[in-house]
Amino acid sequence: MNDVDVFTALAQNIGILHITVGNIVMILIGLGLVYLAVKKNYEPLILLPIGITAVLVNLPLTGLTQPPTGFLYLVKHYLIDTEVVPLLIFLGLGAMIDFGPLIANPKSLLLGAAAQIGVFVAMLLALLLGFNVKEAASIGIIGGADGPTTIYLTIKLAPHLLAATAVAAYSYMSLVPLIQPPVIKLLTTKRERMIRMKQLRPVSKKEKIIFPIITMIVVGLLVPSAAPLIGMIMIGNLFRESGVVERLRKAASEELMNIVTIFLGIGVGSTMQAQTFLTPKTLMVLGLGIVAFASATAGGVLFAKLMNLFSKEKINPMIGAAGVSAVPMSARVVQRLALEEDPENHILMHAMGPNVAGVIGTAVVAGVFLSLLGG
Amino acid sequence: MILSILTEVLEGLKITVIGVTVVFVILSILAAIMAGFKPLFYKRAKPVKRVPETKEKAEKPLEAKPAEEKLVLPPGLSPEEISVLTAAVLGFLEYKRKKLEKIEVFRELPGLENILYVAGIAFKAKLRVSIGGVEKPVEIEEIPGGFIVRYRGKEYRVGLKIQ
Repeated sequence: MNDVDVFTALAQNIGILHITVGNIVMILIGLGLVYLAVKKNYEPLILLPIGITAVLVNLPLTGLTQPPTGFLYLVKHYLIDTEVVPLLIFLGLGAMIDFGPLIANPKSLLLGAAAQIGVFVAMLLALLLGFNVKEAASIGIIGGADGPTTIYLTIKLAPHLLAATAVAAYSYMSLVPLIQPPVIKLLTTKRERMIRMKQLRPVSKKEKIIFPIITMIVVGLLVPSAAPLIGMIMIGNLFRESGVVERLRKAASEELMNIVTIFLGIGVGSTMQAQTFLTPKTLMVLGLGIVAFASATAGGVLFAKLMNLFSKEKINPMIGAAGVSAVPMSARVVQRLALEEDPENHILMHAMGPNVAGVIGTAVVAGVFLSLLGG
Repeated sequence: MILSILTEVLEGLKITVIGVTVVFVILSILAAIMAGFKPLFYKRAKPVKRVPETKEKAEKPLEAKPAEEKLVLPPGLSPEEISVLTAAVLGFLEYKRKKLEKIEVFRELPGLENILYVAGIAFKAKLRVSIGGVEKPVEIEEIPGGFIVRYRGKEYRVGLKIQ
């Protein structure tokens, strides 16, 4: 090999000579996500690894996403594509969630169901914009405000949209305090926002142990395709409520959760390559994500108002907005709005009921999509 | 193009109807089951009934109730001996505290007091205990976990444990 050949070979291996405009844009988007995570504290646990991995995968010639041995390829192929990570996240989530407020007020489940209307509104809009049904379902599920479910469903129905839907889901979850209040205020009167609710009854340990077992069996029998998601969340919850496997609860909600969150972040980030992410569809997905969140909020609030027409004990319609499963952000937003109207009206626990019901509702909707559209 | 979009939208509407129905049915079933939890597992605490106070009751003077529990004495000890022993121990502890307070190191490090016995330093005292105006001389001496009290030529072992 002469000097010219050596120089040519060396030049061919310098990344900067291969960088494209698309790569630069994606690096800027990745850095934008890092900025939002670090500076604005927007879902930093997930947006930081996604953002920085997006930067990494857009550096040319790294081979990180090249099959069969690229590290990020291995992470995505074995942990994300196989759905191991989203399901383990659900296990950890279950170990962290207290279903007590939901058990104390079972009507909350209906609010969790009502908020899923946003999923279908966004899906129909996506269809009108020219997406196919599977893509539309993956976009609609963003309205469930549940990152792992969004990822789980998108991997099965429209894997090419994974990066866009995941980024939209997690970004908008962090924007719940900005997206929800205008919708809630638009649909409720000051008087409605001031409705005080009766204190929730105490829930026994026995009830808390039976709840995950029954939910797993009922959902598993009626919508088997939702069983992996519901099953994992309920197993995690049983760890928590049984009180006899403290080590497992701690491992699921802390160590395991942290590990799988890292893999989820870098796995999703690895899909943010310029050639797949920088498309008009991504912009539409991001736009539809906001519509999904807003319409889910509206669905919950309007259904709560409907319930008030038939119920003796009035409920504060704002708690319907917490039916989107961004736990516990949306419940906190509702609490803040209630306190703005009446500084002594504490409805956080009432809002937590629909909030955790939303997690179950979104998982059931994902199961319905999988049953009807196939994996 | 428009036709294909319309076809997709129609399919979407069908999925929406099925999806909304399924999610409401399933969550309603769960809600119904959970509503059943309440009568099964939740028992509301019974409200305490308030007995209306009658005039008669209110005016009735309070009567002192006779003590229901009978004092059980350790075998072989008279009430007088127990009184003397109790007073002797209390008096001794006070005596010891006053003695130690005079020494600065014990004032600053009160824990040191506990290792005196290990170091071979045991306190002894001769006290006069007054019961019913009659003074009774007693001798008291520290031993591990308690005291030896000498009274009227007899030796009593009194244990003291702080729980």
